[in-house]
Amino acid sequence: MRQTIRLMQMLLFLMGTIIGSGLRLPAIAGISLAGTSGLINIPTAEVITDQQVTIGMGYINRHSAYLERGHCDNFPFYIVLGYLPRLEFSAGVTFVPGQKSYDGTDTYKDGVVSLQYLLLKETKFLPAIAVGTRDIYSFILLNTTFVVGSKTILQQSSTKFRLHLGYGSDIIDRHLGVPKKDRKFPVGHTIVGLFGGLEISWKEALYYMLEYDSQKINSGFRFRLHPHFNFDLHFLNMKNLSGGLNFSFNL
Amino acid sequence: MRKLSIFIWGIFFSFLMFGNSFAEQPGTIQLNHAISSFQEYLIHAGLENIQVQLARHQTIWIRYENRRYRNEVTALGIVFAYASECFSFAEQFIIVPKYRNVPLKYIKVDRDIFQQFINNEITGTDFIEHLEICYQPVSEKPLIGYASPNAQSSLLKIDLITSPGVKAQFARPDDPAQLQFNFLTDVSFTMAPGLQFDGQWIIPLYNEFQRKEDKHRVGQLLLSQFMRFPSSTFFTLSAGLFNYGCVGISTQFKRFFWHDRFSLSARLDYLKTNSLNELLQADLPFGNNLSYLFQAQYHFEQINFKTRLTWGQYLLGDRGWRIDIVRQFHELELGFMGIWNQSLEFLTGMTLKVPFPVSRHPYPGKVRIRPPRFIPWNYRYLPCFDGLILNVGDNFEDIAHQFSISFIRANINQLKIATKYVKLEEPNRSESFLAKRGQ
Repeated sequence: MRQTIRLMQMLLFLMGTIIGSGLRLPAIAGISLAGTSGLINIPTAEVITDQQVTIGMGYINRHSAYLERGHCDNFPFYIVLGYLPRLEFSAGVTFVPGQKSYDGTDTYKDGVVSLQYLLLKETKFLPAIAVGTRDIYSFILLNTTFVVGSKTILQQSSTKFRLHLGYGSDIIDRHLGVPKKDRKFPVGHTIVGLFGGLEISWKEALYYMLEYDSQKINSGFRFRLHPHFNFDLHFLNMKNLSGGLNFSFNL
Repeated sequence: MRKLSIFIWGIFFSFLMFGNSFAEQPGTIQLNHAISSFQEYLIHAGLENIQVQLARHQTIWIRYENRRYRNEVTALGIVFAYASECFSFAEQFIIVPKYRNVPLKYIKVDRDIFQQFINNEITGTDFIEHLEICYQPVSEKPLIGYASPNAQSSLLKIDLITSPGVKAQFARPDDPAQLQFNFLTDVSFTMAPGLQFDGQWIIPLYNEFQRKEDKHRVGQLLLSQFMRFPSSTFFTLSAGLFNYGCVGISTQFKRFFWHDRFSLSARLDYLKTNSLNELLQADLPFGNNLSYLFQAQYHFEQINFKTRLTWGQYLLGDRGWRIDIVRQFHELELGFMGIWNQSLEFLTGMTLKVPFPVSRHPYPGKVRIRPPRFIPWNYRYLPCFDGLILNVGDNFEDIAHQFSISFIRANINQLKIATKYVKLEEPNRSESFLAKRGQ
């Protein structure tokens, strides 16, 4: 706990230095723990820019993890690519140490491939709309197929309030891209039903996030330490400390 | 007296007929000097099969082949820069890059526009808007009188290409990560215009795949003839030992439409594939030695994105649809594929082509050792070998694609950087230089 407080102090000091220098960072999409544009768990109606690459990793506390909940922490590693204008492609592997794997090791590994497409950009009156699906290829354990809208509801000088609202579905109910014999395994879903969130940003450098992911309420901070570097600190289910970091560059 | 009058009338009619063109042309000696200097510079830059012709209206035709620069835009920039220096009287250039000494594409540009681009008077986007690029030859016929001979032939010049061969397969239920490292040595040379020999020797270094792949072996032994026909139509005939241990003949017709954005192709392969079955150590549905494929492709120029739809009977005799999408980011290529057929229903995979980090290769000589241009990598869910398409060695489309507007736009900096390679020297050294190279 003491280490966490020290880490937070250090980050706040860094943030203070960045914001104090008057630097205004460009607005770019944040990456959720699922390795797609979003808040903490939920997706938002944003995608990373065309030809941008984001590489990152996360830590999900075992009490709020989707894989082996209550038993093992989850460590997702991902790469997100702006494959086409408005289309985001994401691939990653979630490591679950402590869980026996099919290859005989003590770390279970689950591959994830996701897509997110920005249907409509935000206008003065209309929200941005995005559709997407997470974990659609090979063995599907963390799937959701969603539509989400995002709208800036208030913007005052350096502070911005954004609201996100969407619906997740379990419409994909079988494994895709695997031979017939491998399709007997059950498909796992994460966000099914209504979800939503609020995001408050300050100078595009510090974000506070509060969300409902159809199962639980999560909150967290996102620190833009550098135009290409994000650090996230989350409280899943409002108590389980988790986090992530990612780095972006253009191809 | 009669002879004198015939001579005067001759001069008079000559001026009437050719006055416009002759009046604006430089003298023959001056032109020949410019052409020989230009050829010398391109040879010095490492380009081959160089030919220059003067057409009407101060248009210069330049044909060349690049086997030295990984990025064709770099070679194109060098040709532009030298042409604009050597042919200061020219109004327009028609650049014809070649593939295996066969004309591939036609690029038309005004000299003034290129000068403005180099002098930063116009942007790269403006420059590209003035470029005309197509497979179909432009209608203007070159004047025969000022054609230079083909300088620095690429025929029978052997390339030894050494490259790492990396094969990786992930997420296989019985083995989550399989790796294979090979040392590949390719021998390649052009025997006649369009005719190329390709051989490959595989030296295994580390192997977690099939036991058969532990052995030193021949990967490819091919003779392939590339031809172009009128109306943007191309034909390739390959025969020999292909990858996967297949022996046979492969033929392909391809025609481009709609400013080269859309293409249709038909392919017929007759192969003996038993060795493939042994290699894969699997019970695969053989019995069909004939593979036929029909393919439609569209290139979205604005975003450098290709979609391909293929139908037919694939390498292993499976029939079905295959869709490929490929996006190019500068020189890096990332694509995905989806395969539908009755036995599999749906299979997806990924293709990646990464540029090898050597942008300039050694000068082409009788024998040269060079690294590869790109390292390709394919990923598909195994053990599914559906939708397999034979690899027939290097593909003219890979080279041609580097002359597309979208590729040049993405690599516009290369065009400018190329001019930095250009260091014009005194023309006095040209004779000795050409003599040294046996021209």
